[in-house]
Amino acid sequence: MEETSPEKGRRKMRGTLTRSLAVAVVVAGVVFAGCGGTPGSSNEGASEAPETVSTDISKAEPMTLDVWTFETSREALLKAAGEAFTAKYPNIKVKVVLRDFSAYPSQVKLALSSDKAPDVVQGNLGWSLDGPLLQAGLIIDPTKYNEEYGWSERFPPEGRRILEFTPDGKTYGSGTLVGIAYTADIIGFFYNKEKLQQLGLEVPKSIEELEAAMQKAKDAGEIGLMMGNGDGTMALHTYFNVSNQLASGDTVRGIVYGEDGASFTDQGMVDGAAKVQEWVEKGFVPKGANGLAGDDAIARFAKDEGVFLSTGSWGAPQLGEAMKENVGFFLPPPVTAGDASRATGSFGAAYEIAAKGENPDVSAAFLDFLAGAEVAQMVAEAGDLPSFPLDSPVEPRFGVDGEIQKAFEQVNEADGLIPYLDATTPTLGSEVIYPGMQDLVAGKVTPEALMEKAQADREAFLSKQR
Amino acid sequence: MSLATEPAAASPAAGGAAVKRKGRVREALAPYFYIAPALALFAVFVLAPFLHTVWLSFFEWDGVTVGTWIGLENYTDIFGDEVIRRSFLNVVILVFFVAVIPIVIGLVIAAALSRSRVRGMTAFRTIIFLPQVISTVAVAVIWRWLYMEDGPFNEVLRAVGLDSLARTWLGDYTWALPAIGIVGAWVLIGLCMVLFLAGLQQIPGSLYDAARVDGAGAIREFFTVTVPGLRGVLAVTTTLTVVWALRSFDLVFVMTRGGPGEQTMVPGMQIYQRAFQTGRVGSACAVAVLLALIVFIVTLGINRFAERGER
Repeated sequence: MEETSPEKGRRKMRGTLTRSLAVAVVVAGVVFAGCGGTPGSSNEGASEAPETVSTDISKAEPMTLDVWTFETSREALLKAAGEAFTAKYPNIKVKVVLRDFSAYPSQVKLALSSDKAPDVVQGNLGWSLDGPLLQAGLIIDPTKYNEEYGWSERFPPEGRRILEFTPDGKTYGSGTLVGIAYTADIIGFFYNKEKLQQLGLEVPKSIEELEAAMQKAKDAGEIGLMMGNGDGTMALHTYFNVSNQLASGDTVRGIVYGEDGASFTDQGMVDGAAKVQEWVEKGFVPKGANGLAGDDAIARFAKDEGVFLSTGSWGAPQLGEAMKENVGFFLPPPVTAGDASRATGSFGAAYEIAAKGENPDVSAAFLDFLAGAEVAQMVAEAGDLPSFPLDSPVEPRFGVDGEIQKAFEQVNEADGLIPYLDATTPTLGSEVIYPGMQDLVAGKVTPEALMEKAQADREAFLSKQR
Repeated sequence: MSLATEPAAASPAAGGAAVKRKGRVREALAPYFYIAPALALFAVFVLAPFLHTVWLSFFEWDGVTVGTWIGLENYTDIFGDEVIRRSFLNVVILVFFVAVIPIVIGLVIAAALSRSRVRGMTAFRTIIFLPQVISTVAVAVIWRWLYMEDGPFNEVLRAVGLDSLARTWLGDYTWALPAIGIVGAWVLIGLCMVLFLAGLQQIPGSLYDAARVDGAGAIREFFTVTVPGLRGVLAVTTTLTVVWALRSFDLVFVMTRGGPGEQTMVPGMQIYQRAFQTGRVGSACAVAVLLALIVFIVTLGINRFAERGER
């Protein structure tokens, strides 16, 4: 700029600027024209649920069945199930595709709407994924297959609702099964048998006894309830264990299934949150639980830290492997000793039939195979919790897996399986209740305020659905 | 293009005008041909996605089914959204850590390194710059471990008897955000230092000589020669670091996911959550557009400020 005066330079620059702007506008216009239009597709090209269905696929065209899952720990199991399926139907090969869980919803939606859609995909409970997939027509309404194979009859009536939607995908908790999962899950308490014995205690039979046990553990210098709440879910699962007893089963189900009158602000729901906060204040959980990842808490429990651990049956293989006979499992204790426990759990994140899949008959046959005794046997042998009854009892792999199987049967006999609250709306988990549970543990929110926030999210979602 | 007619209109209408006109048009268009390849890439990979984002921000869209045009509703929603407000506020706090601290420390280190002939200067420079070349995810994993309940920081605190200060830093409502800010500062100090060192070499040695002849000491020299001479570089480092804070995502994603509660929530994390987890693509795009606008305004502001100082 040395040779031109600043004035002149500025004017020159302004001219260049105007011209550049003009170019930018032209380019922008061209580009913009290319990306207009309403986003999304109505999915018209997808195949509707077929008019006639066939359950005999032994003469189906040879094909490879693409199956998507997000369950890292069960990849080997699903592959083994796929191989067993191929052994039964040599014309069908099964390819298991493992996807990362954190961005799974968007990945699976995009894949299902593409021309190279997978054949079978794993969904997730309620409004967290199943509802949106069905509403978008990305998976088929499998009512016909369900009637043909008789899937629904294999579930207890209340427990089954966790996997049910109306065919239009608008109402959760009734209608038809959206799919089949081969592993179930149930949330309760794991406990360190040796430690409990050293404290001179037995498995608590009521909430009061549980609290007394945690107090005694604390007084003895132990961690009463191991908790890693880095993502908010472990406090949430502890909350399930309490609120399921303090609120009625109908209340919690009503909340999740969008029934009028049910509300997060129900006294039992609020009291449950208050209990969790009270336990933290009393020092039953490790200090700084909010900074500890859930997996790390499980790992620490496996290394003999803490008397109780509140998490789901999915922790069993890891804990059983590390602690052998020293780890046990019990259902969340009821208010009054001797009453039946209610527990949050499900018949798994279902495998569903993709609308754009190659041959829905084959996909349905694979689902039916997953629901069969052969796969249930494989699941039990792996120390996992099968969704369906076994033909013949399997020797527990660790011990704790046997206890979990019994607990699951016990809950279902009393029809006490409660759906996951996270499934109430697509946003409730990551936007309200996970961060909210961290706030609760840190004493930054009152139980009332948290439940009101959750109810507001629920109402906003329900009013949009109608 | 319409641009070409303007200069042509000024030329007299004569027999040779057509030829002359053609030449001038070519001359006027020449620069655009030079930038055409870059412009095309920019248009396809930056401008088009950005405009598409703007377009999507006017829809309520789950990413798959047909979207609904809702005009500015996404914007009015996010202006009223407490979490969004919180996340932008957090960025302001982050700016202190990742812009102010690295620039001040980077400047001092650079001035010190350039003044004295230190043995092994290259080694020092490399070590300080090293965090910049490690992938952010690796950085985040390392620091997450350092901050853990039984991690090195707490071990040191306990070893010197400061047990009461030990805590799970990333789970602490007061300290989680500063903890992330410090990691950002650690990453960016090296970058700032290298930029300042480069800038220092542009300052004529005669200015230092003159200052010394006038009897200036090291500190006086720093403020009268070094800092003014680095004004341009300062603008660059400020822009880079402030924008780094605004678009931060990877550190937060790996270290806290925005927690505890929403203490470390940043706009980038909100965009991710909305677009990929809860299926609110339109809302995510609105946040993205708002973020881009803020980045644009901040960058423009910093450059204006630096230019004004130059005159």
